Amino acid sequence: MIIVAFHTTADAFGFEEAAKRMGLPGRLGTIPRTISAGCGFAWLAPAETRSRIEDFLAEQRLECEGVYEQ
Amino acid sequence: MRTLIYFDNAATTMQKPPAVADAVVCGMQTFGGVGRGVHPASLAAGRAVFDARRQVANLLGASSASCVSFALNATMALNIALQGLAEPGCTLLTTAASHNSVLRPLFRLRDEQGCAVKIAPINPDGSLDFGAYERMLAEGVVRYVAATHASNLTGDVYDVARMARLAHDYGALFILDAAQTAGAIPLSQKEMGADVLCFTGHKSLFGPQGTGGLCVAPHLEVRPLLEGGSGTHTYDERHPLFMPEALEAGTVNAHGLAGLAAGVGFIEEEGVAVIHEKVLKLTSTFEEGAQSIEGLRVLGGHGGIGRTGVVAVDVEGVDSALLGDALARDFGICTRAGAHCAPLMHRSLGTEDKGAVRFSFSYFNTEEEIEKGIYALEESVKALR
Repeated sequence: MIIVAFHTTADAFGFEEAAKRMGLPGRLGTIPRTISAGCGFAWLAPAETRSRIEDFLAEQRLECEGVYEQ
Repeated sequence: MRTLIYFDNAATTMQKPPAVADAVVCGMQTFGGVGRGVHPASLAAGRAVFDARRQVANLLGASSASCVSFALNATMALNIALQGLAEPGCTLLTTAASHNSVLRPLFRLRDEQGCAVKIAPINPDGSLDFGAYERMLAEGVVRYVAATHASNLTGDVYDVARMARLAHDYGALFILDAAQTAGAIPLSQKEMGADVLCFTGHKSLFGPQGTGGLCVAPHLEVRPLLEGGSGTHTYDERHPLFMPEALEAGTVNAHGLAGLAAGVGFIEEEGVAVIHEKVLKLTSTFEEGAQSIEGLRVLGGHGGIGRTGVVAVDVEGVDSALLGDALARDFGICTRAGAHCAPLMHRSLGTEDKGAVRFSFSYFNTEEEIEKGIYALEESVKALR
């Protein structure tokens, strides 16, 4: 699973809105404590979407704390 | 019961689009803690707040939703901006058109932080003395300008793009009080060059009371006024500095913000230029009628680069408080009499002792109400003389 962590809840909801608009698979969920104590929200997506997510972050100029795989 | 005619929209708009109350009620029935927990009820609240950020950013020309921090009103937003930017001993500049929401935080900085406060004068016609404003900036010591976009007393809209440009030319940041203009006239933070734009939700944005905020340009870091719960970075000792939540310690008013988003959505649908045009027409009709009353003087209104829906009147030989009271008691007309939290503006216009009666209009007022207002004003003045 790919986990996108965010600094703020606003970033998380901004990501969700853009992802829905662009048809990116995944959903907002709770971030595993082992990954971050930042914003409690994370974007949880299938493992095969990693490169698509990274491209998406760059294209949309969206802020995130990091992209992790678990 | 007699129907009220509501002409106190510069204080709070009473008539709102029906979607505003619907959104608040829906939020109260469905929202969990916003940004606190990741379950459907919390997500519903979070999405509503994000929607409000996005809509406000679009309407006010902020750089992005992440630049919009919410507060209770423009007063709180201005306090956040001024206390979060000003350094002890710095020099700040405002204009005599400012509301106490600007003046009192500045005077607090003067009294408690050793700051110097300069005040650019307003001419008797309501216009800003631009020469004096620039001379004060040219002294080279001003670090921050905090100025109102439109006088809450006269409705005069000031050329804040020019003011911001001058402030920047002399090395100062520009903080804009858009309490009277957000939602009332077309505006853009980016185009005006405001480093911070403070707004309130309960006036022309048609939101509930207890909503407002500030749009902070991306290059700025404002120190939080409050620290506390953030729902994020729990183990950090101090409040996280990531915008927009850096300036939002504690749970925000998600129910109210859902209403604010509905209000802004209504403005976007109708068009802010259309709204402004209708209000201007009502304002002109009222002003024309009022000016035909003997001994009545309209305060300002033509001293800026535009105006909001405000007509403030001073009637020779008539106490403004008694006139406001007569309008409410005898005609059910809601106005605002007194000093309007604008002490320096009243001083500039020569009405410090008597105050004035302010009529302020909204998109939901009608021509018929305007005609009744003119009649009521005429009759009340006759009765009080």
